[in-house]
Amino acid sequence: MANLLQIGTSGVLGHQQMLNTTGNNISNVNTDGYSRQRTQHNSQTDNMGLARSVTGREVNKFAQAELLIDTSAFSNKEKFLAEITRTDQVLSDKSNNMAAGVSQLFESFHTANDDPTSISNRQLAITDAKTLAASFRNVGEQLNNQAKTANSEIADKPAMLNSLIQDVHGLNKQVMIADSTSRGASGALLDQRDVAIESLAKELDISTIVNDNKSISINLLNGQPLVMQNSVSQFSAIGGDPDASNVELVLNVDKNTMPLQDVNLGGRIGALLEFRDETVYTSLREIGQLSLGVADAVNSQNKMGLDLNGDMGKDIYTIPPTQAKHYSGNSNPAHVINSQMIAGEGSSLTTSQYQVSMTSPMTFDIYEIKNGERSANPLAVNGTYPGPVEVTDHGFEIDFSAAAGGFQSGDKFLMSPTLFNLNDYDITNTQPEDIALASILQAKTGAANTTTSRLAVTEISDPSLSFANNDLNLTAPQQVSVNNSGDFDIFDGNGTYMATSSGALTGQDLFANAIPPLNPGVGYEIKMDGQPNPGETFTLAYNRDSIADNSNGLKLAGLENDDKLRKNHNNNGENQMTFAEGISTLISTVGNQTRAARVDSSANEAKLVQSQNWIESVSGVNLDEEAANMVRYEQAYNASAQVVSISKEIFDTILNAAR
Amino acid sequence: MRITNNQIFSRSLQDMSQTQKRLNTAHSQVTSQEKFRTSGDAPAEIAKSNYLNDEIKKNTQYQTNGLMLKGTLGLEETTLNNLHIAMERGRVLSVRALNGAVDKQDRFAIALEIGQVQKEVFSLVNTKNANGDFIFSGTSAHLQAYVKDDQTGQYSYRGNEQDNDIQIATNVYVSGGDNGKRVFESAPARLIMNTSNLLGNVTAVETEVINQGQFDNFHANNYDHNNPANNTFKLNVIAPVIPGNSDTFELLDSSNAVLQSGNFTSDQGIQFNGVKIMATGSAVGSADISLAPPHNVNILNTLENLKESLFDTSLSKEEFRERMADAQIGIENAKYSVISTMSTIGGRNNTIERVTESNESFKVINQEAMAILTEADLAAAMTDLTKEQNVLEMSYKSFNKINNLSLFNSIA
Repeated sequence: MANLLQIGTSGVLGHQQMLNTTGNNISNVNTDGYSRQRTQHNSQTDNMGLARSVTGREVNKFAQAELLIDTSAFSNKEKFLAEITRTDQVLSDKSNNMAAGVSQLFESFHTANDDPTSISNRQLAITDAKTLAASFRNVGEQLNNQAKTANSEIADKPAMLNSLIQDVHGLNKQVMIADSTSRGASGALLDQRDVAIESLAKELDISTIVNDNKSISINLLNGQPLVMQNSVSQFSAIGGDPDASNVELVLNVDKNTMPLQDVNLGGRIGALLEFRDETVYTSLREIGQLSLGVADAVNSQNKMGLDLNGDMGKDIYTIPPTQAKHYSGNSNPAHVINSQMIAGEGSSLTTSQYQVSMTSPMTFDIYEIKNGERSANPLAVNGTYPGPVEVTDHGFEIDFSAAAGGFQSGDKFLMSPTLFNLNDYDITNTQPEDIALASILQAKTGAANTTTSRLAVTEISDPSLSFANNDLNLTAPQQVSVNNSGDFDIFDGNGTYMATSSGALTGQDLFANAIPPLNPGVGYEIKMDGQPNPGETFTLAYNRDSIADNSNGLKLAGLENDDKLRKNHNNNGENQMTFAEGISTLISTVGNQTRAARVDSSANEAKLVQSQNWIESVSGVNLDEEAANMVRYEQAYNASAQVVSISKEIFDTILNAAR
Repeated sequence: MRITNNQIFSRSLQDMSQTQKRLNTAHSQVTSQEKFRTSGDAPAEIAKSNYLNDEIKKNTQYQTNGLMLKGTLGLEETTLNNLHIAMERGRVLSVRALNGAVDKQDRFAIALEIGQVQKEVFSLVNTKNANGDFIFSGTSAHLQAYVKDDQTGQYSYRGNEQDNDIQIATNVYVSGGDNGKRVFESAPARLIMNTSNLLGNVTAVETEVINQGQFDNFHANNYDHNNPANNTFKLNVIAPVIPGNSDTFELLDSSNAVLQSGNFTSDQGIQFNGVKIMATGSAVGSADISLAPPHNVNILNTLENLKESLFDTSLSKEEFRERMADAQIGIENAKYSVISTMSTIGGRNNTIERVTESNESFKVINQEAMAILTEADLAAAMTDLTKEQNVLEMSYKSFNKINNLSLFNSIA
């Protein structure tokens, strides 16, 4: 009797509990991270109805672990895709189109060549040069802004990470406390902790360990601890080394600070760092190389001609120097070194960075850093301290003199010769007359000549050798006369005999074939067109009054087709490319990375969806299932209530029987 | 595997958002007419199309260059044609002047007309183009091509000897002008013989070229540029071996070989390779006769000399004949130079046309290739747009249906 009451009561209470759980599941169908709960009852061992119940979450820890990994991977790819898509759009933007700017500049050289005396045509060329410089600046600025945005985003991360870590730690404590009670930790508490860990997984690659006391320890994949049983680590953001404008993260563990600059963090933070360091700065260096290449090619060619005033051409572009960044371990942060592109060597510039390492106050080693790796051996240099020291075949020179000899062994500097303030890159000489379209030399035939032979200037390689003060040096070879044997006698401006070049060599390369050899070098070369008679004379002169000459202008326009940029890799010994190819390479490198990022992102998304589906199918709520359960438990509840009612009737019957 | 409410909902949501993305892509293709928006959409195609675009722009620039060049050459050709006509007029006048029936008054009249022709030629050689540049001054286009020295009356060329090249294709450069040195200063003057060094009883010597063609051949074959001494021949008048006979003469070359010999009569012409040599005197004596070095003379000076000869009444008949011959040969050679320049212009025009046509066809090919790579096929894009619209509408309807099903609706 009493037993029946007890049995019925236990059934009512138990099924009430089950109905509560079902109701809880239904209410929480849309709660983030909610795992459905089930109440399980044990039967009383002495067949006295329902015993203690346990309400637990339906979870699969393997599915959860899989979800964390996939969440990190997908967040990493998705963040990287979002960032690089913006870069891709900036570079593909038609309004900032660098390729159009380059071809426009050379078109305006062509137009100037058609009418070299026209001031308006020359002005067009200057304007187009300025527009090209502006387009480099614009793209560079947009990329710099992206780096800045990435940096400020990284700088904001520690606050979020730290609060998530504190949340997990707090929840750990609550779980440990709750676990020591009879009811155990509630499903809601455990769900909250899982949600916090998942948020953390989106930001970084983490690994979790469930401890015996039900707390969860979290580490970075490389082993650095974030959440431990009794303490936590905290993140903070500091300036990077050597570039302090770059934000890097450090981990403060128990009064120790662990730098994370070279650790692959994964997740969104890892994506931001990778994007900033590899995509943005590499693209900025490539733009730097391109802009320096254009400037150097135009400057060098301009100096080989005469401008509209009849003066020797000067630089058109300003090429700014770059300053190296010093590492934090250096003896004196005020000691800096500068680098400058060597005029005429723009086609040797690479997009790599360089490490200058002092081995003593006056000696140093220079290494190339390419694709993140430092070269094993120091590079060959030309020159000694304090410089300028040329890095052979790399197109730039380094100046140590700013420090006035204060370096110590072990001082290191990071040099990026193609990364500079693009605002300092501009047109120096803005007058239309400054474009040197005319050749620096002209050829004249003697008045008594009767054949139509003439001298032609085939090459001007170095005006500095034979020209000074806007004139041809008197000591330079400038007269050719045909002697009685048909050979060419070469005289200088004073009429002094210099050498003879054989007439049997079809008139090519008169100076190169001269005997005795012309020393020092001449800097220009000529050939004889036609068959002159003995006694005919020819002269070369500074090309005065030749304002409509376009010979140098043709060379300026031809720079478009010349290989003036260094490729990043050797292709059968050929490592030069044209400007258009350089721009195309820059844009399609980023384009390819974007496309790869898209593929990666959707592949990882598919994987993530699969993991999420697995979790859902184990822990998700199905309303139809809960509805069916409700009906079932309600039936059982009613039946148990009936049992209580029957036991009451039996008791009443016994009571009435005894009266 | 269990399906939960969240899964049902998120799956339909995902499908709808994917469809919307595709719809968006199709829409942007239709409105922008380009298949790809950024390089990330198709890096290889975008890189290739950038290259093709570059080539098209270069070609367009070359076409422009070619057009401007044609204009420049057209002006030059017209000017040369007018020069040719003027020179022809000068030649006709010089032929008329040689006519024996022409007297002093007529000569003056012809000289005046020659003066007009000369003025016309002077203005033509100093032609300026639309930019105010002298077209025959080479690259010193601001300097007048020909100026007259008022003291000597001779015209000299002030320009330089450089001509500009214009690029009309990647490796094709065409000369954009012809400097005056080449066109006008390369006309050879008439070849003559000079006399000098009279010795002994030879008191005067004159030479006159009577068969210019024969003499030109002899000059071309025998003129020694290396050793000018070889260009001098000696005319020796020798006393007869047997007294009473007439004097004899010998013509020796520089190595003392006898080229011609015969009886010598004073003031009677000796025919020597197209030249009539008239020596005055008797034995013994000699004179040097040398081939005159070749030199060039420009048309303006030729006309000037012609004019002066016509005005000069003190010239002997022989001298007058020689001046006229100078003028005719000078004008003839100048005309030849002008005509051959005109024909090189014709050749250049042909080159420009051929290259321009080939550039044009390259341009079309490149434009086609670019269109295939990056332009949206409108028909395909419209079809995609319609298809995605339908799919989206279907997914809306099915979303409605699926999410309205619930067991709770059937439990009372």
